[in-house]
Amino acid sequence: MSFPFHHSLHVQYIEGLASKIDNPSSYEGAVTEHLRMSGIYWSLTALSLLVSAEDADKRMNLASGDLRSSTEDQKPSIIDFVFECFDKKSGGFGGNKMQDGHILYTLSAIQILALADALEDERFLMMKPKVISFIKSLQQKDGSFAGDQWGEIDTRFSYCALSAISICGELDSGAIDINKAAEYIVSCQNFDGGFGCHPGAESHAGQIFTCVGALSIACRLDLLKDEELLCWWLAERQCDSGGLNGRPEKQADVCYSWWILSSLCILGRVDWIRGDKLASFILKCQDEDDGGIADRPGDMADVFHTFFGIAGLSLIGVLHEQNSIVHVDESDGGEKRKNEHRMIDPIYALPTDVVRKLGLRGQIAIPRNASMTDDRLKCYDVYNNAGESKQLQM
Amino acid sequence: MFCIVSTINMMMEARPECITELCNLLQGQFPSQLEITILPDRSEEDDNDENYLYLKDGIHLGIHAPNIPYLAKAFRNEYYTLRSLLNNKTIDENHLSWLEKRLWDAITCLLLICPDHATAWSDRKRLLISDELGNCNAFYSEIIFLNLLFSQHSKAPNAWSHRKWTCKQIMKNNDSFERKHEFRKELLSWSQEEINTCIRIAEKYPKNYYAWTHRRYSIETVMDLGACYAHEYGQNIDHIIAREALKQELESIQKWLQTHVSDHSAAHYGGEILRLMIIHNKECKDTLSDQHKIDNEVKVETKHKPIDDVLQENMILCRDLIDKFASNEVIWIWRRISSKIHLEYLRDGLHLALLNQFVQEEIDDVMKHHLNKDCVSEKEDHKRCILFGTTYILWLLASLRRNYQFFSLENEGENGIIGGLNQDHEELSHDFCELEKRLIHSIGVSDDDSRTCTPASNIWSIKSGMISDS
Repeated sequence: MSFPFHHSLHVQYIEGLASKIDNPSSYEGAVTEHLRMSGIYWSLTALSLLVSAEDADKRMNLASGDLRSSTEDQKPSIIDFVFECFDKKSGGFGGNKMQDGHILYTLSAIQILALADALEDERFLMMKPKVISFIKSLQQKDGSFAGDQWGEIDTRFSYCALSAISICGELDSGAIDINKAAEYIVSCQNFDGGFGCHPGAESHAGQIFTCVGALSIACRLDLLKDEELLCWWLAERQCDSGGLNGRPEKQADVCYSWWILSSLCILGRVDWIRGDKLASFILKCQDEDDGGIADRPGDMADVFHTFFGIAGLSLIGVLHEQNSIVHVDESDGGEKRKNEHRMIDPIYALPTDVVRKLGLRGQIAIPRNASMTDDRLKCYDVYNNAGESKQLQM
Repeated sequence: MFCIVSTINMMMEARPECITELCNLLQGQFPSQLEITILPDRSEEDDNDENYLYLKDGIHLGIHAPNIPYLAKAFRNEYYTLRSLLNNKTIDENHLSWLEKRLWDAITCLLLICPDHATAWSDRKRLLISDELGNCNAFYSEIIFLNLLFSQHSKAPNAWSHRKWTCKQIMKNNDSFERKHEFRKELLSWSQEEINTCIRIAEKYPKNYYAWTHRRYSIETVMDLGACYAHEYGQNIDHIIAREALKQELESIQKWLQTHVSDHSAAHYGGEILRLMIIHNKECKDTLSDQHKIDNEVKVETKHKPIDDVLQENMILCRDLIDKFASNEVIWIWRRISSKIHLEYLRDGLHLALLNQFVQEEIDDVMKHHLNKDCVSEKEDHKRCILFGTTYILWLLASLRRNYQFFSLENEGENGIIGGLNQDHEELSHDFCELEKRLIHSIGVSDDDSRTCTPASNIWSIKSGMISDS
């Protein structure tokens, strides 16, 4: 039995999120106000994988200024909101207005600007030096990154810093010490090949993605000890249901479709898990009435899992293949939809066309005797574990 | 100036009742035992129309979930208004402390609903620092507040990092080499308290990532500061204290795993303790005597057990645990952890023969007790046992191979030493290789597979071949 992918329902679900969450009676809105920036990034990117850039722009009221009509009660655009969250004091972006700058929300803000093609907006150009300076100030002597001035260290923050600096085009400017950052990350690698939030912390699929992603952006995959062992750990996350869990003996959860799949993608071993079984699991997590995707079948959908579910399906390829077992609603225009689905980039978690347009840097690993099969990775530097690193010809 | 005064006047009248009420409820006879819960909406089930904000029953304080949107809005309004006011630097001192107190209360309430609100935590830190320079009491109260928060919200990373920050402030205020003895006592009592908190939370919320990470931070602090003192003063006591602490932690984990057989966090933590024990052992090898009885404040009587014995005993306990729980993934992982650490210890001591012997013993044990066709339990369990046992051996052989590579790098130019190594030091012995191939075939991975035929690349096939699809 195969489950369809409910394209239109998901589009509607995402579009409806803003008004649902901003509603004063919304529970979810109330308890997630402090991370609204990330919430917007998740919903925007999820939508961007389902419809064209222009369509996403219109539906979400993304871009600023001249694209607005002149109606009186026109809501501020998402870009306007992003700029309002800039914290002058720290130089970073907060999770919502009137909040302190933090690396997590700084990355989300920059990702949104990238999606909106607004990195050259003069408002951002004015903020940019402060933003770079903020990120630079977070790097510690050992190469690690704090989240904000209060000094909490976490490998997640290393990824955020490297990704943000890269998207801003400042990797080569010396703003941050990339090699030191990479060395710190590798110091967090555990006996089982995995990574935790600090050295010695338990391996966790989410943290693994941030470490592998960061090493990829830094083009230092060569520093990884035991690449195969790490992929062994990742492959063992697949449960009987086809879903992936985040640590041994935990329940499968849709968000790990992203964290694990993208890591395997970067390390060239996506085929170490069964993509078709994973796809059926994700599809079972859809809300067939109202759209959206939940963490596991039967639970309530939310924007976080909707994003990662769609991103996971994109990485597996099932949203793009013409003869895929996954079919979209017939009533919807069926197969035609697949041409519209944009692909997601495993390193930056943004649509591949955005990543290519910005010329973002990254590195992927290809196991010995294997060859590159994924088009979306062609633009990246290749590390093939034979001590060589080479640029693929496009 | 006028604007500020009028705003303040406005504020004085307008403090929301719901904040006052909650703050009052948080005071009480046993603040250190108080627990909070978010109470779900029962109106449909109980035909109960009752609309309430809070419910207090002894040490339990409940917040009614349907009203959280309303409360969140009220708390946030108060918080952001006060925050803006206070950011304005022209407020005079009379109003300042009063405003700060209100901000503090607003933050307290907000965090009970949004425990991961980073900015609220930042403002809380600012208030703590500005008021309580050199005074520890506020930081101890903060620990109590965090315990309260964790009774409901055990997974908020910002709450945990705030706890770590608070602990560091407590250390800072105590870290005086002149008062070394008191500090040592404080350190031990602090770390015990933190570890007990982590245990309590890990019991209530199994595999809580942050609780276990914090536990590791606590024990590491004892190690680091102990090492600092030992180095500074050349005293044995701090080494002994650290060693005792590690020993207790290991025993605690070995016991815990017997009743928490799926707790991967515990298994990982156990591995870290073993690792720390090895490091610590290296650091103070020559400086300790066998028995040592110290001053009255810190009664530590220990019989020093050599690290080799500790590791071997741990392996024995591991095997016992597997005998009882052979179909539990995490128990096998604990065995992987323990044996890898044991392997690396032997490798670092250049005990190549012991290395091979250890691996052989492990393989023999697993094959005899778990991969033997004659040993049978309930069908589903038996399949899992075979799966985990087989992958364990393969994982072990892979580890061994990597350790050989370490040897070959270290001992370049030397000839093949002892049985188990090939001439070029890079590959496993013939026997081990044959076993590997046999096991891989036994779990359904074919030679012809164009991908590398490691078990990892075929986990799904292995599992679905051995375990019925759910």
